[in-house]
Amino acid sequence: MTTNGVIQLLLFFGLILLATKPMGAYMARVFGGERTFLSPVLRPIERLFYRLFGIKEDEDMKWTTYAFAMLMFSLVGGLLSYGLLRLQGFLPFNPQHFTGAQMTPDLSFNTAMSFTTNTNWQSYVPEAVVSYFSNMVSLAIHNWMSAATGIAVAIALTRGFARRSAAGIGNFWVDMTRGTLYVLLPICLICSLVLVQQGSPQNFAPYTQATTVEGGSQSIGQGPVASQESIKMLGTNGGGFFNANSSHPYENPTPLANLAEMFSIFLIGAGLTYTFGKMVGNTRQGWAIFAAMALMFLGGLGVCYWSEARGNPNVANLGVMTQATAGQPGGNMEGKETRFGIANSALFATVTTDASCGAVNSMHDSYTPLGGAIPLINMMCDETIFGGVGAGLFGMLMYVIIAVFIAGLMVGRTPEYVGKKIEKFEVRMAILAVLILFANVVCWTALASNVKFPPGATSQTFSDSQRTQEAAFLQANPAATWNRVNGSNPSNYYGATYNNVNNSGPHGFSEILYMYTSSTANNGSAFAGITANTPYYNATGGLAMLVGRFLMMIPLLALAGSLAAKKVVPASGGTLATDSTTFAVLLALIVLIIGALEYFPALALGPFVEHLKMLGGSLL
Amino acid sequence: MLDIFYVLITVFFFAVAAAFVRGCARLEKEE
Repeated sequence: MTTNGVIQLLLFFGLILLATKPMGAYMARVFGGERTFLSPVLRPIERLFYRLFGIKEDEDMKWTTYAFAMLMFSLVGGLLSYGLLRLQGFLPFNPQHFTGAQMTPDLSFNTAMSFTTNTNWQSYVPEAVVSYFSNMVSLAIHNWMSAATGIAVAIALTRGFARRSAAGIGNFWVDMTRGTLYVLLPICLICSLVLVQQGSPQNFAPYTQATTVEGGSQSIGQGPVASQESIKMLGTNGGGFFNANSSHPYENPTPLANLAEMFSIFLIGAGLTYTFGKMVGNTRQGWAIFAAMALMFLGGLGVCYWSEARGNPNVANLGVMTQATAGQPGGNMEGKETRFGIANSALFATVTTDASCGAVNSMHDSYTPLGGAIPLINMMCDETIFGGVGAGLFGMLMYVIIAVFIAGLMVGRTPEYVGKKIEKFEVRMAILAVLILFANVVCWTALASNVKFPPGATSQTFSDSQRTQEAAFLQANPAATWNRVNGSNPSNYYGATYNNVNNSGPHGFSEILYMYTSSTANNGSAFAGITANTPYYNATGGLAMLVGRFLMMIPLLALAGSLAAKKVVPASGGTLATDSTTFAVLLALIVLIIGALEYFPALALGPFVEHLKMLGGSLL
Repeated sequence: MLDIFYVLITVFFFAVAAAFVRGCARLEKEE
């Protein structure tokens, strides 16, 4: 670890700390329906939308209506994306002439669900199969809508705590419109201009064919990159315009662009903690949640940076210099961009997995075992560390319910939070949401570690000259297609689903575990060592994302409805202070302890045993 | 054929989610 690196990490955190209050106060005004400095421009547009779509601005929805509206909106959006991806060959803005054949049904399903759920897992190479139209209409539009959905649910849950004896928790369509118009749109506009100024392209030109210095030919992908990049980060979506994501110089051209991207990932998530405090009438409550998130963020960042800066001792044992000097960064630089170095790679990896963003500026698969465990653990904390836009706040409020319940048991009183009694139904809903996420990760991981499609334990390939044998093989084993790599030539039938990983042993297991954790947490980053573009992984991954997103949101909306209907209980001498440092520490510990109880066995089989093996001189 | 399969999977999931909403609402009423 270098002083320079630590200063950069602290500078980033300082910027987030500074931005939290103004951003949070602004969002509180927006969702409270108050006038903001953008109202003269945006209010007429907002009203026009309501008139066009027949939305009654003052109509309050019960939580069930709110949930049905959210589900219907996501279903229609998801199916629309699926159709557009399959039909991209007939649609405009497609200078590379990509077709629906490249976006197979299972890949289109995975991609459509991925973007609908704010996950943005990409089983494909975007610049090789997705047209500009698909990028802008089918995918980028979900970057906006899924982000606005997350914010809407967080605001609805906040209203549950803030309202007294109320039947409704707000209006889904109004929250969506306001979140998009007043929050996402203006900030994205600024971010896009910053990225263009820093060097990101924004055009509709066909790819440039260049001749390299060796005389070879290179196709240089481009397109409307800056606009997609800005919402990709601000909306914590993470799906890149290019396969290399934010390590690609067009997506992330300079260290300043890198800082701006990381800042925009955390901006709304951090701001919403203050919005919560403002809306419940006690900003200290919001700061306590912020403090719990910050504790976990700084702890994870410290371990990740330390582990990467320390590097792999086996490399040092070979006589390779791994200490940082003025001329080289030392540590573990495998899979990292030299432009960003170890500190900014570790910071980006921590931020992107805390926030369920999923964009990457380095390859997490190449991290040291402990360094790679941090992104995994961050996602296992259920998006609570600033989290995805909205998802961070509602994820943390889910743990707040559990924390006050446990603290209430400890002091022998009825649990209360911001004046609301926490009773059986609320605790049930919070626990249900936690267990759904946990079961979703471990069940899919266990399945993928054991399922065997034909040809079984050993994979099989067929070249062009072996098509007759391939046809006979498929006739005898039709199930083999479930784990055939889409578009592979020679045709690659992996057979057992654990054959899809690039590494054997604990690291291979981590690659599978990472995929389903990332899908469930709606993160979308990949450990990169897994070939997931097969019907089995595309279908199960898509389902994992849907469960992780919607089956978590529903109990939390039920919680919001139940809380909104309650009266406020005045604080008494026995009320646990939830706006204190003690509560912030307790909250962080509850998240970590529950996470450890759930995932320790899986982590022990993956990164932890890999770390011990590394210390013992082995990496296999 | 596969297109229909994946569209049906999607619709089925959202139907399950809608049933989940109703289940949570019933639980809320009972308590």
